[in-house]
Amino acid sequence: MIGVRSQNTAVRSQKGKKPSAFSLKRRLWRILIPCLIVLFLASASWAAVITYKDKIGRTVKIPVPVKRAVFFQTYELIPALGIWDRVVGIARWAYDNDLMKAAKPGIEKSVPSAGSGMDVNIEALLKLNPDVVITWTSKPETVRFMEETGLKVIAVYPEDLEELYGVMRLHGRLFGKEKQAEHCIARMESIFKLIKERVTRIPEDKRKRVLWLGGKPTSVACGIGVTDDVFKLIGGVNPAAQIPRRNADVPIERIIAWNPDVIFIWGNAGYKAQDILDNPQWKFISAVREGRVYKAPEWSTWSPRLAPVALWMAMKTYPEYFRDINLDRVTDEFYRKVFGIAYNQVKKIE
Amino acid sequence: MSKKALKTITIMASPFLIGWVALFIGAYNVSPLMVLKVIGSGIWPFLKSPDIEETAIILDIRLPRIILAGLVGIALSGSGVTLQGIFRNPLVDPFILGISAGAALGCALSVGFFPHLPIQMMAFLFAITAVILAYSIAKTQGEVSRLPLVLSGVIISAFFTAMVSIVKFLVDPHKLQNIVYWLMGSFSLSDWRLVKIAGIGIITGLLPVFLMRWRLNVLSMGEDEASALGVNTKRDRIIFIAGSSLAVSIAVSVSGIIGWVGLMVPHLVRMITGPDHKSLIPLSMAGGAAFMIFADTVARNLTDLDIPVGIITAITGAPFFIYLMKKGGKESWGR
Repeated sequence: MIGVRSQNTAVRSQKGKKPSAFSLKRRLWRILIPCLIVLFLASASWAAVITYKDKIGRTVKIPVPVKRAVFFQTYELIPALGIWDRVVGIARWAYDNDLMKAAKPGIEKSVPSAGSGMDVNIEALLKLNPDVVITWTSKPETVRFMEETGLKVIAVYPEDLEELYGVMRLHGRLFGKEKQAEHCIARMESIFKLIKERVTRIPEDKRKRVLWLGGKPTSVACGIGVTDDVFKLIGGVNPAAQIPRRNADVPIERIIAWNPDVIFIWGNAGYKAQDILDNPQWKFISAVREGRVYKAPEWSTWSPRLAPVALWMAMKTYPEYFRDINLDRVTDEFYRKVFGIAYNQVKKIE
Repeated sequence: MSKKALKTITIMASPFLIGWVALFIGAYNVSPLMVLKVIGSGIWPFLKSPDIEETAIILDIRLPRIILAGLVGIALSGSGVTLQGIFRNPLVDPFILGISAGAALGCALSVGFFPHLPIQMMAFLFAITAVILAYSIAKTQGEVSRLPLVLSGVIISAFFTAMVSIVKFLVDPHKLQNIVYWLMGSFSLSDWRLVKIAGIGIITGLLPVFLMRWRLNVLSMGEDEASALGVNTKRDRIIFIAGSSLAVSIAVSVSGIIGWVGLMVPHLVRMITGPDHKSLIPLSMAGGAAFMIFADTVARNLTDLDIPVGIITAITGAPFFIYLMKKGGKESWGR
């Protein structure tokens, strides 16, 4: 009690005095310095964690920059961002990917796999000790399972161009490669700009109906997804866009009623353009009559490679507007600037 | 006209009636008059069909699809009634001998690893292999009686299904999609080429069954009774199993796996007309064709989409199976 009283007395006696300019400065610093430290620490800790909300409603917080990552999806962004040194594991499908093979020769020997987004070998994955696992939202139970073992999981599913850019930027932030991500987006945008410039010259009534066929000829890409977004970009009208789904199986009669002018076939489909052209059931479809059925390359549409594919599609749809464009040259330049490899190192668009 | 004759005529005419109606229904709007005109020109070539979309839709899309559905219905239902007769088991269906699992493996291998080989051929080869294996395993016990054969069929089915799973695991997700589509069963890619394959295979398989159908009555009495009547039960059983397996494997190879038809339709027909195989075989075939065409017409017209017909048959088949189990099979078996 005595001590307290004497302290109070001391405070009272100080209050009575007028503070000097020196002591005021010192007191100001005493307040300011801790504030600055707190602010600095807080900002540093905010910058070191990324919060991502995915399509299945999960919110994930990832400390950055990521040092050890496993890619079950979006692995084509690895050469684009130049982050091979951060990759400790990859989906087994990456070993068959032409871009991955070209960008990292002998990838199957140098980068281990722990399965894929559909079938995870959890022990192999844990052994890789990743800071983050990047996969897709298609199998939420796998995501949940990985999280239960204490792993940080980011699940992506871009369904249009903006979402794809969002995913690319997310990768940039995760690995501290924001500039490279923006560089990739800028390279893609320059190709899209070229397409848009040409396409805007096409009158509305001259726009072509385009269709994207999937795993079987009667499976079509509908109104949701990157493919439909590319159709919009290249000035094509997707008659299947009225179906609010990613893909749908439709009766062939419906395709005849839609009467597309141009048909693209998914690169991984088990049939060729010639199979459609030779089939008498398709002979009254405008695209078949005019021989405008094309099989796309086996390239991912969740990749910067979407840009050269879009250019190829635009050129096939409106060749008269792109006569002066050399697709091989544009694509080669794109590959060199984005992935650091030459176009002839991967399977070329036929 | 007797009541029985009326029932027989109705069932025999049903695939033609349903098929006729199905010709007029589809996603592409074709006027009934145009349908008649196109069909007329198909029957009488001097009426020269107009070279327009409607002609392709009727003659190249709807007609082969309806005929293929009918043929597959004949194969599944005809084989179902035959196998039920041989095994004297109302719950047997054509897939119990491993046919579907074998065909599925053939398809999976073709899609996944041998894309240059036709799916139909691979499905058929593996389906027949599965049946031969099932029969050989059952034979190791000496006389091939019905329980070991059904058991070995179940074993072979399980083994082949596991092999399909391995293939599904090994192929990349893009190819996996094709296998999954095929396993759901659909007529969405029907054309005249498939009609020819199915027609030849199914007729070859089911003709001996049809011609020998009266012997099924004897076989279904039981091994001892049939032998006492002087029937070579072993030879007859092989002919019936081989014939129906050939028909089913061809059907599976052209349309994928469509379940329940072989179980359901023979029971329905048996309930209506009785258990005599002389009439039950042709009536089940006709009923199977009618049901299959009906189910496929529903599948392609129910929504904007082309629903795999296997889903439609399973939706109708499962409640029917429960009904049969509840009923104990007695009335439906006609005893």
